[in-house]
Amino acid sequence: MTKTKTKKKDKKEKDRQEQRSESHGESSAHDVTGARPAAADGSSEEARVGVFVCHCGENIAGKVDVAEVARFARGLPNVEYATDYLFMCSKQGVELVKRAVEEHGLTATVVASCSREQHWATFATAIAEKGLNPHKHVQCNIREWDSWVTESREEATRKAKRLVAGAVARARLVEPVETTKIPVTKRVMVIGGGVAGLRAAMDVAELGIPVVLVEREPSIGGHMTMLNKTFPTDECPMCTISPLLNGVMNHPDIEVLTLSEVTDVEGSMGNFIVEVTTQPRFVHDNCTSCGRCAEVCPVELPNKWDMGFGLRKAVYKPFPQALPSVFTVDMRHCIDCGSCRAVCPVEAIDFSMKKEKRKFEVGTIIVATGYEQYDPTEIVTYHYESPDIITQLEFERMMAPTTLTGGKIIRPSDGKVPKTVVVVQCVGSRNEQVGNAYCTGVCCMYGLKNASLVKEHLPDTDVYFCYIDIRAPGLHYEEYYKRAQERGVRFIRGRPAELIPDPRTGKILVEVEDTLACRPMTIEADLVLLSAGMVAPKGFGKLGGKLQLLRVKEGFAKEFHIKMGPVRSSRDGVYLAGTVQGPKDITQTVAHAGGAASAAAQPLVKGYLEKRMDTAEIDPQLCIKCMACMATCTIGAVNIGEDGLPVVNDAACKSCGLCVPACPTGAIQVRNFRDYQLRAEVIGLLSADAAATGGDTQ
Amino acid sequence: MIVVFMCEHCGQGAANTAGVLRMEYDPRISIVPVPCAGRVGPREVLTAINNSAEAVSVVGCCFGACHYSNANMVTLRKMKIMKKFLQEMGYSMDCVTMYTSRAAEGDTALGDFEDVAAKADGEDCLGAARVE
Repeated sequence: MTKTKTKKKDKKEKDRQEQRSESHGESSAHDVTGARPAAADGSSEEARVGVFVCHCGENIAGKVDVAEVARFARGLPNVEYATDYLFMCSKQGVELVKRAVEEHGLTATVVASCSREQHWATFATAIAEKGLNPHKHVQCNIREWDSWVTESREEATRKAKRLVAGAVARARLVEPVETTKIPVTKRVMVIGGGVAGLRAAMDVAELGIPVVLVEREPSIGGHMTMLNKTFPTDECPMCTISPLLNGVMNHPDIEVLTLSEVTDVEGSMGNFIVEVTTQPRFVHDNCTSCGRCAEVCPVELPNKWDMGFGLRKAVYKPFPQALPSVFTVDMRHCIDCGSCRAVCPVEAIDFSMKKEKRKFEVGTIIVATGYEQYDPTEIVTYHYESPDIITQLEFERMMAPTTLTGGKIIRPSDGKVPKTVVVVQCVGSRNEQVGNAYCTGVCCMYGLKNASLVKEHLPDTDVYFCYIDIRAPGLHYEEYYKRAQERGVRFIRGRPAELIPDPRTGKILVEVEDTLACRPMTIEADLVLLSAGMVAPKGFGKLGGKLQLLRVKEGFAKEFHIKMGPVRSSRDGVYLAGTVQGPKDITQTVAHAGGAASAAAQPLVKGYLEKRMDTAEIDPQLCIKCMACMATCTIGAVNIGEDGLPVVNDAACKSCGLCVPACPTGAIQVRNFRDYQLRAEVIGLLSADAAATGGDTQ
Repeated sequence: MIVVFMCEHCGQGAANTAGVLRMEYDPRISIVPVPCAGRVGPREVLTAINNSAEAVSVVGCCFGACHYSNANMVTLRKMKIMKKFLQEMGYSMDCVTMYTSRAAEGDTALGDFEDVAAKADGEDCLGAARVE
């Protein structure tokens, strides 16, 4: 093989030649035994395969003639034993497999039943008990891939035979795979410092595992600290969360990084390398939080944290109890007058601070980036631009005693006490027009909370509550709804069609149909509260991409399994806590975060991961050192070895097999998905029909 | 027969979801599990073609969601190049296809299957052109 300048073209040419030569070789090799190269170490002549066809009650047997499939399997090469059974995964079924392995001296088993995820491990463990390598078991899915998706019984049976023939061909050549223990980095990264992130960080740290908590905002606490009251107890959320806030800040095992974002993620479960970029705070940690800088700062602007109901300076703390208790300089608005620097008694203010990048080695990652309130501007008929139409989160800030309103309920436009307040439910959720068909689930409760709070503060004010359905499931929630009714909140079943601000009177006309009374009505409201739903935060896609998380179409991170794995993400070693996985209330979020913490801590407490060594392997005799494998491997598991040959890093290799088609000589192969194994499976599958008809005529 | 190589993440996941939702599709579709769509190359595709497959398809994760690292994108390019070669060799362009699917949505797999089945039926995809 001579090196030419047009290396690429040369490679293509080689590929093509090879394809041709192979295709010629195979057109003659139609029998199932043909396509095995001499290099194969697992000799198919010695393989003794057992085939077990499951009825799965009626799930498979209803469509597939299982006895016929077992009979067909008996005729396949190297099949020593084939049978069918009502429930292979039952204790008796598993015993049947074990007994067959012993009695017939099987070297590999094929169970034709459900998916690999569901029951591969069941049978693999069973044959391991009988001394076989667990990877000698091949799971063949004739339920999800056949009986459940095929209409005709005849076709389903034929397809089952095909799939079984493919699996048997694979089982004849399947190789044992060892597992090794890989040490893990004993540290967890928690992304997001809301209540979910804090709970998860605390729970992990209490197990003695160091935690790095990454928060984008200048302070930790998230949305919960913005709330005024929490349902169903009407407790002060700041009082409930502050022990957790202080606990996290003062915990020796938790490192809190504020104004920080994850910018890069490398590695895999057990050993991630995460790059965190920290924006400069321009104030050193020796800040005593005396607040003299903010007193002298001439720049005043609306506080984002107060949803515009409060003011802050260019050097600020979002709220008085904010942790870490350090001021922040907002460089975008700072006019660089230097007054804050002049008055600071500890000289903490430093405008020369720079953006910082740090790399952390962590074992597992918990994502707790939370939610974002739905932006009602999208629904134009609701005229969110009107100052007297506000969201519930804005109302929470209005009710807070630290804001400009002083905790009074007023109309933001003129400061008057509202005589009529309308609460509009399901804004941006249960609304297919804006693309959110789901129910956020918590709006009913916080809507009820704020409606009865208005009634409590202003007994003479009329409060209307426009809803589609009241969803108040759970202990003490229905009672909470009852209480709002008793306080005199008027419930109108109907979603308002339009909110029309009347410029003459300053009132807002709420057009709604009372669907229970079957009559349209117009309410003249002074203040309208929109119960905006929870949506996935806008920037989440970027982080999700770096973490390689799957997301549902609503934008939230997809859990591993909705019932059995709600805290695992689609990627190994990355766990989900709280509303990043879907809308939740605080109770659910805290429970979810606790689950995520325990799941993320599991491998680190154990200290090692079990790694399947079905990795790629290079035949040095075939290798021509073209390094195509190294160039193709997107995770960088192939490196140059001592003698110029590529070597595979077994710990990093994820057995995807991307390198295999890239290799011009077939030197690199992935164990159990080698060329000859995959070829045998394809040929087995495709020649099954011929084998079956041959069998019928005999 | 239609050979569909499906990656063990979104591909097989979507096929499993389609099964759970009882979405019926063409019985000619036979799934061959592979770890990743990236594992499938010319050798596998030609093995299938030379053993009388009507069409061959590769299904990977949707773009940006590869469970390894963009191997689905690499495979898409690879399949495009391979189609050109196949055309030069006298096969129909339609006989080899690459799709993506989402494990959470069974109808993505169903759509892929319906498409490949339609392609296998159209223009006598591989039957007429097969080299004897």
